[in-house]
Amino acid sequence: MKVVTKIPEEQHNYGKQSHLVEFLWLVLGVLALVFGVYIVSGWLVGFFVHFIPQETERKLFAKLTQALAPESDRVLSAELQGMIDRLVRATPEIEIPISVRVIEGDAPNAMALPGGVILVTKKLLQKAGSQNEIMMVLAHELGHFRLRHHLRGLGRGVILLGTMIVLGGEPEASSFISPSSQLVSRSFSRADEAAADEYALETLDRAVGHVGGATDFFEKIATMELGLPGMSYLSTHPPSSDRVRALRAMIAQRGYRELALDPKPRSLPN
Amino acid sequence: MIELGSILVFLVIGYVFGTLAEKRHFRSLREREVLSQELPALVADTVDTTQQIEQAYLVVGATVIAIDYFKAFAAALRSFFGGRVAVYETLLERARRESILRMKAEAAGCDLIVNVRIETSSIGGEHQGKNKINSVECYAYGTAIRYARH
Repeated sequence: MKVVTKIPEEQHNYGKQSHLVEFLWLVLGVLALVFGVYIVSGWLVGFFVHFIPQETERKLFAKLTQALAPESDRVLSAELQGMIDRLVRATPEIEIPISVRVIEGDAPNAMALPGGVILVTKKLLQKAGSQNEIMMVLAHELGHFRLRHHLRGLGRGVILLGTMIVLGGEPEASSFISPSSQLVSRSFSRADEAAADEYALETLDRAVGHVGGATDFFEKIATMELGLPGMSYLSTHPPSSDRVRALRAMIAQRGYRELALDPKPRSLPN
Repeated sequence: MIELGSILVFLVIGYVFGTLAEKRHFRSLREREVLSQELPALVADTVDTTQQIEQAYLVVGATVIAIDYFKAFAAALRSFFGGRVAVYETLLERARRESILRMKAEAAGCDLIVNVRIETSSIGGEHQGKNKINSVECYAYGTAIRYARH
């Protein structure tokens, strides 16, 4: 018997394809999977939240809202409450009491807490030039309630968490799924903002009779934003300049009138 | 986003250095395999009994190769879909062939190695409470045979 060593001309024990190409395909596959699951479930959540009564939402979040909402300025809050009531009267779809609280804060900002509480910073009232401008901001926050954005966000959060748990066996993989699904959730969030803007414009027109001052606030904050191209994919809100443009287009398309603005009430800070 | 950026940096480092090392290793394996062709290594456990055996002894060759970040990541992604884990195939192939070459080096001056076996074990670490494989060891061993010279 002649014993020899044979070195095979060709190897068969491992694939010849580039690891990088394979890797890119895998990344694409996983991204498609995650985005697919997330987008489809996002739509489903968006559909089903409308079956949850507003009262249920209010009860659900009452405790949380109590705990979250900081001290508010009574005089200013009462002033804004009048504006909110005027807006709510124009929108029969709002079934729960909406309250507004004025808080301290460095930035001109307003936010809607789940369950029917709107927070407005004093800084925003300072910056605002007219009652119409403030009402537009309030109507926008009202839109978040009406369109059930809190529940939708919560539902998407739960689904995201579930996806992470199911797919999260591999620490490397989940560490990259989390930031990429954030991109999707931010795009949902930008869509929510745009929807709330549209709702706000309609409500303002119904409550006041015209939409004068609707874009004022966004124009003001647009000048404060850094305009980095491409950054809009990373942000939760659409750029304010885009929002102004979208509102302008809507005003023109629907033929809303823009009449003289109501002055800011004297009790509000200047 | 910072998270994603650091992952990307690790991936690039893993891919660049891992691929360079792998290419270089395969080249070196091939060269040394040709050089050591004179010393066959067999799985058979019998020897040519017509010749007188002067010496027989155990020879071993061990290799430990670490997994780079790129390989670990690609394998984790692969586990979603199943299929060939190409990044690990090359890794294990390198470890096995290197071990055989090292075993052959121990058998310098012999005519043959018989009854060759290869054992593989993973050297794991703990990451976020999960067992994670960091590197792989291949251990080749056999019986080196030296026939009597006349």
